[in-house]
Amino acid sequence: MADVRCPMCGKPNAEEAETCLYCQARLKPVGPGAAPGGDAEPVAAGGEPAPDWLSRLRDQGSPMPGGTRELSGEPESPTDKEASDWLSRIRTRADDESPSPSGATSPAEDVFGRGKPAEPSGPSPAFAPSAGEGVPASAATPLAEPASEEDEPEWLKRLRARRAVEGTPGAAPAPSFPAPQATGEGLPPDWMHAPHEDLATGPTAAASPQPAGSEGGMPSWLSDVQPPAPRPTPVENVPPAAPATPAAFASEDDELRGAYSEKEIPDWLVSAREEAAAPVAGLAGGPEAPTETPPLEELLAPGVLPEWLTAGSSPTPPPMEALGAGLEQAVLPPWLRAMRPVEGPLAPKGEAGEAEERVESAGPLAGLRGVLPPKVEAEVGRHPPVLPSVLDIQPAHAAHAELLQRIISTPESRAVPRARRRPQARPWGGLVVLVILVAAMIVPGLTGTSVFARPSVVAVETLQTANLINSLPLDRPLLLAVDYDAAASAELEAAALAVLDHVMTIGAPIASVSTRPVGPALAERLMARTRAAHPQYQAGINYLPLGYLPAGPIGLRAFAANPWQAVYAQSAPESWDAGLVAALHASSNFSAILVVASDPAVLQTWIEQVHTAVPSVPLVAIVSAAAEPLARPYYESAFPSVQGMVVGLAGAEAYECLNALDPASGRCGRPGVADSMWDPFGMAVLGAVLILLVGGLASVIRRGVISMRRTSHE
Amino acid sequence: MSDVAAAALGFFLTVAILSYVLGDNVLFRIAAHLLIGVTAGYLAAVAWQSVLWPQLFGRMLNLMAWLDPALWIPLILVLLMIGRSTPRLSVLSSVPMAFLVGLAAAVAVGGALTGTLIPQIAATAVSLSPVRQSSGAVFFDLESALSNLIILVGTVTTLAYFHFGARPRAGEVPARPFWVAPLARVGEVFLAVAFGALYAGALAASLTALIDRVVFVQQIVGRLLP
Repeated sequence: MADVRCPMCGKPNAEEAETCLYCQARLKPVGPGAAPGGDAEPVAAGGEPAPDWLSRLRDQGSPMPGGTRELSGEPESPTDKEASDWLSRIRTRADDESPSPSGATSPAEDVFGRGKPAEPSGPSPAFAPSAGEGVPASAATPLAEPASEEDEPEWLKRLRARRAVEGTPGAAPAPSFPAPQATGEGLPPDWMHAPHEDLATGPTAAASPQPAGSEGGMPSWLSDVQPPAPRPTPVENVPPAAPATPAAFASEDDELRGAYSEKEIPDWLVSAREEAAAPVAGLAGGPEAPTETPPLEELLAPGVLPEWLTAGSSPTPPPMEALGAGLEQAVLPPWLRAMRPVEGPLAPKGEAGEAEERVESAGPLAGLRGVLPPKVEAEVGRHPPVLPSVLDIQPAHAAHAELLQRIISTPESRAVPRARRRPQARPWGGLVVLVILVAAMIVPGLTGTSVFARPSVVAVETLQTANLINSLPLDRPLLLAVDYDAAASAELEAAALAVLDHVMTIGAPIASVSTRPVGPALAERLMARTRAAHPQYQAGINYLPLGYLPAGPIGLRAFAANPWQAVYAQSAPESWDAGLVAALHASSNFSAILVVASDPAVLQTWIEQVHTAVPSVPLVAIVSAAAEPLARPYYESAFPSVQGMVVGLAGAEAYECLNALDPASGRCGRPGVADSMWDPFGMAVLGAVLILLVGGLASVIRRGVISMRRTSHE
Repeated sequence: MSDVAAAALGFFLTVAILSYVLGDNVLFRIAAHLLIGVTAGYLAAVAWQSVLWPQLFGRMLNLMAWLDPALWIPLILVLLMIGRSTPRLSVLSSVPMAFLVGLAAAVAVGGALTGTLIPQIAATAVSLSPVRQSSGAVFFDLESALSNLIILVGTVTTLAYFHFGARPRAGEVPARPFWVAPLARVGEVFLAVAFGALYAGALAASLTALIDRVVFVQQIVGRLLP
């Protein structure tokens, strides 16, 4: 079974399938060309009578070959005119010449002889008038009566016998034709009947030659199919310049009827017409209808054609191209073009006019013509073009391929050249800034002069911190949270040292903890730096290093619940003070929480996880200047979470001043770490401000110059 | 001797880090790699000494401690977490990871509500009246009233700035509602002031760190020079 490929999805389907099994697309178009087999007869389905409009069109239209009629209403084509001319000439000649039924030259013979391509060398068989394949029938061949019945061929004898049995009018003695020399058989070969298959649907189905004036001898069905106004219509593959076509015979039939009386027609001609009509009737539905037409090559084979037909021609048949040489391509009428089988998606791409003649075969547009460009069809299911198997490799491409192959094959043996480093732009700007700042920092130390006086006004939060430290109970430890990185140690250590100095001065015990791994080391550094001034603070006695507290917020929450359990799961070292260790079993036992943080998020975590758990324990924040804006809301709010703050180097300097304040003079006494950095810090800030101002001014000037240049160019 | 060596090493590392001002160079890379290596080693040592040994492996030596679920439950979670090192067993680590993430989220959200959101919202509910009453005495506190007004305006306008919703209209560019736009404009001013304060604080902290290093180098150089 042949598969029909779906035009939408390209998958094969059964030939009789109406819709695609996979995508449900319509496989057979619903347009005019959807009639199976290309049958153009608009017969209603189910044998129902045609509608009125169709009947009117049939009556009004001129009959077309194959039983169809002209529906387009187009004007008569030049071919029609040409046909009319030669038809009129035939009529004229028929009128001028006298009928000679037994003469050697008759109008019919003249008609037959006009279109013959080659002069036959032998007698022509009687099937010639009904030939539909365009094989010229030579009517000029003398149709002599055979001398006797013995001279008749075998097939003619059988034909006569059958006529006699059937009792048809054609059973009269037929003219004896010369037997085809090529076949040597009694009956004509099958290929002679092959054209009759075309007669069933072609224009010659009703155009079989019929003796003039012998209507009474014709069967009724043959009379019905007689075209009322025969007109040769150009048919595809039929040269219009060949007037000796069956259509020509059909069109001249009526004219010949008037030219010759029935009596004047010889019996052989009547018999021959009946003989020619018999297989046609069989083709129309009879059991004798041939079922298959041999191809043209087979018909033209040397052994098949009769000798008389092949005589005088070349021993080898001309090629097919030569046969069609000189023939003009017929122009199909639009209605017939619409009925042509629709090309599938696998058909090759057509010409430019394909878009207009293309009929959609699937989808909602099925049956419509020229609505989509052919590109869509080309993209759906079209086979890829066959590319040449031999690539045209250019030498450059071959060199590149060879290089790539070498690189892939031996990657380790090929040293990849190092990309040349792009020379970096000299950071002159940064270097200048560094030089300025360093110079500003060094100058006070080199000169030994104090440029900036100590702050005379102490911030409120610093004062509150000092007051809170002063009020710390001495029996409970102060929790020191060292939660800053080493990078912020310079700033925060100064503040933390000032506060711790205050704490150690009053003698409050300290317990340190950190949520950062570097915190214990920084805490030990802090304690080591303060131990010089406060040697009484020893680990285990009045200082408990609790170490690292993991898990961030979770660890802080656990620490708020039970500090000792969160930090030390084991028993405390024996050297540790039992009282301090006992105080670590509840966070509420801390006298205060001193958080030293460089990140405001860390301070926020301490507030959220610990201070909310023990709100009664005051929390003091020692934060960097960078974290102050985010930490201050916890101190400035109406319900402060932070009871005191020391911010940056300025806060450290102020706190140091508070620690060494001389009550008598009201001046700061003992200098600390922050004090040693105060002048360099002031100079550095001044230098930074100057750099910012100069840089901003330079930027403004540069923009102004650029704007002026643009304005001048415009 | 150790102090001298530590001071010399500190001097070298300080100069190496500061050499980055001239661009990426070998000294800076040496200092950076040394910092990373020392930090990693130190973190591992701290994790073992402060967490793993005292809270897990040290307790495993005591057979009676195995009766405590606080020992073998964390041990199971640790073993499941080790499965993350291999792709085939990485699915096992989802259990301790889910435990950690869920617990951290719950703790963080609870603490944020009680420690930050509610107190900060309450802090903005301030009185704008300059008249105060304390200990039966009525006084005029214009400073507090002005501060409270600034707090209120800053809070409202900053929140308005972060209102990015806009109702689309045909043929027009989406824009804030007419009453939000001026508030957002004022909020921009408050944000600029806040960012300026943050930048100033960061600059001050950086200058302090630079001063510490410069003073350190100056002291070393002063010791070396006669």
